[in-house]
Amino acid sequence: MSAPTTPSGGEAPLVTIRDLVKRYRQGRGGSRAHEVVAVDGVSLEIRAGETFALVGESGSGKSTVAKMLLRLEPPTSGTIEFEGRDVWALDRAGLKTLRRRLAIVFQNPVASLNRRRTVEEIIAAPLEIHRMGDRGARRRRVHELLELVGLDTVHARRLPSALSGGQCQRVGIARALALEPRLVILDEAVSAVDVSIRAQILNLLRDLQELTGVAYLFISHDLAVVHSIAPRLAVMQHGRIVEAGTRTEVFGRPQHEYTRALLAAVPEPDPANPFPLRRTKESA
Amino acid sequence: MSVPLLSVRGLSVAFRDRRGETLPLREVSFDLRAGQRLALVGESGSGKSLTAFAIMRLIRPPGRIASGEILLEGRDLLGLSARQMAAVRGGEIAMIYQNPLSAMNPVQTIAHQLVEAIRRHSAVSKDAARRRAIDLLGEAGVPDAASRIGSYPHQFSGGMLQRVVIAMALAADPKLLIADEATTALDVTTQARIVDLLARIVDDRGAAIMFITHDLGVAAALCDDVQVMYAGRIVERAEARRFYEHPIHPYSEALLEAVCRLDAEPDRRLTAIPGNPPLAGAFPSGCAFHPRCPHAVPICAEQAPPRVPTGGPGWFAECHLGRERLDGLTLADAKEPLP
Ligand SMILES: Nc1ncnc2c1ncn2[C@@H]1O[C@H](COP(=O)(O)OP(=O)(O)OP(=O)(O)O)[C@@H](O)[C@H]1O
Ligand SMILES: Nc1ncnc2c1ncn2[C@@H]1O[C@H](COP(=O)(O)OP(=O)(O)OP(=O)(O)O)[C@@H](O)[C@H]1O
Ligand SMILES: [Mg+2]
Ligand SMILES: [Mg+2]
Repeated sequence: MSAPTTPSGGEAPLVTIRDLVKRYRQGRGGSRAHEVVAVDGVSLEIRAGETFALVGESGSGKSTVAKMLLRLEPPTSGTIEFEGRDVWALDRAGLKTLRRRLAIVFQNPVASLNRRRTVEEIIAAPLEIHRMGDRGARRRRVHELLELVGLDTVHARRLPSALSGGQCQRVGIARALALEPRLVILDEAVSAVDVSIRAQILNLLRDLQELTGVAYLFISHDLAVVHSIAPRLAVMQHGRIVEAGTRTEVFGRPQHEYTRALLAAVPEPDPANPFPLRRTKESA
Repeated sequence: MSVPLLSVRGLSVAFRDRRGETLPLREVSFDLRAGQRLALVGESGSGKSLTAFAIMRLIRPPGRIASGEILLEGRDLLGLSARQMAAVRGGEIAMIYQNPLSAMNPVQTIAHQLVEAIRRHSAVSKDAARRRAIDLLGEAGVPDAASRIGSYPHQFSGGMLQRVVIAMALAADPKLLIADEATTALDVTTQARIVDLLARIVDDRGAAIMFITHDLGVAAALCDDVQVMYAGRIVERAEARRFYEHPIHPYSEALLEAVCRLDAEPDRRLTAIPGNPPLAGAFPSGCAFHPRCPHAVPICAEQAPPRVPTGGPGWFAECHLGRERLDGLTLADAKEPLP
């Protein structure tokens, strides 16, 4: 891999991932079993306070990288460090800190929320688990978070089933922000909301970053959004990072064929010419 | 003119809770012709999925269809027995659900579920159905379909599952395909492929598509008409080219301005519509968009807006200023007549 994945700044990175590999067995096992290499030697670094984007083919291993970082899936090999400590070798106290400082907004908003709990209870859960404040303080924090993501207090008493897809998505974002984490993994976190709410949430994420220095790992299919918010990114295909670098490098001078194919397939809101880059390529 | 494939008339959906009844869908009416590709766009929570669920008759208590007609080739679906409706569902009308995981059975393999879907609507052997299932998955862009069809849903990535659900919907060869955010979890190359696949299905089989999306780029690539929803109503409908170039409703205009484009200056604040979307049960009086509308005049808060025809078949905008905005457009474009 030619382009650098290392941030230029001198301080130690927030996340360091080295030679990460994940293999899965698919199907029922036995003779039908079929091995899938979901992540195949990924290395990357995320700096404190930055937005780093992971884009790429569907099924290329982006969510799997996120799951290993969160300790939801053990890696087959390779190492992941968060704040300089190997996340898979943490003691109890270390684990507790990790759970506070690292949060995720899942790809599937509806399925990731407990369907028997109200919105208020869902957002309060991390505050309760980590014993933050008393009842009243937690309640105020929940309402503050709801407002932050543009939900009304009317939503607070509802079950997820009474919300639209985009509303569930915002509940997930509010929950992730509850403990003021150092890194938030946003896995397709804004793809299910309308463009105006998306803009609102992205502006909000940016404001929070300025205010608190939180870093984001932004996993997305929306290259226009990635271009707008992430100064550095990596492109994945078949479990590998095929290209990485700054926004200017990757968007301005894409080196890998797959990156170029991706850019050419970005649809623009113009029925006369929905794939402007595809056209230029063909006519060239 | 012939009967439209789908005709929705005065459709309202109500939900009851402790505080009373809310109407998140209010008197929605529109037509869809065979072979037409209609984009349904708009605010999150505006009722796009509810419209789709109502057409499928899948609104569950405490929700109910409060009024209206849903005519499929002239036949009112609301008058069908549960059994007749079950045959329509996944037969004449198929839906790709917004949430692919919830549409699948977690303890059955993908092969099993696809084979079942195929055999429900055509009398073929299990082996033939399995071959067809593999073909469909391949068409929807699942790599190594033959070896991966034995997997369980949780073993697939989000985007791969979405393609399974697309394959499942196509299995029945429907006349009307409702796609609810069918391409949102897909990378843009796969997305372009699905768009081509859907376009081909319309062209080859004369099916119609109602394509619900937040991605105004994909809608531009696939659809020939665009319909915009806000606060439980359709506020504008127009042919795609006209819609993107000259939206009449101020909400449509604001929506298009909020689109993040690849050529936009990075690290800038994105344009968003000020204020928050209204909630069912607390929709503002008059035009529901008026508190956020930069053009609002007093009447907008007082009276429900009229449905102003905007120059094409079935085109309209529900706006007190619709007439004026249309005239302004016609004047500005006097040299270049409207399409
Ligand atoms: N629990 C699992 N068991 C078996 N295989 C799995 C499992 N989870 C993921 N995989 C496989 O690993 C690969 C990578 O999946 P992953 O979810 O990381 O992709 P992704 O890049 O996030 O894709 P998408 O953009 O579609 O969400 C896929 O081939 C997937 O089928
Ligand atoms: N069971 C329910 N009880 C009360 N309100 C409900 C219920 N189900 C849906 N609603 C409300 O109906 C409205 C429309 O929801 P719908 O799912 O159709 O939105 P949508 O346009 O598809 O939004 P999105 O783009 O976010 O998916 C929402 O405001 C939602 O809160
Ligand atoms: Mg994923
Ligand atoms: Mg929806």
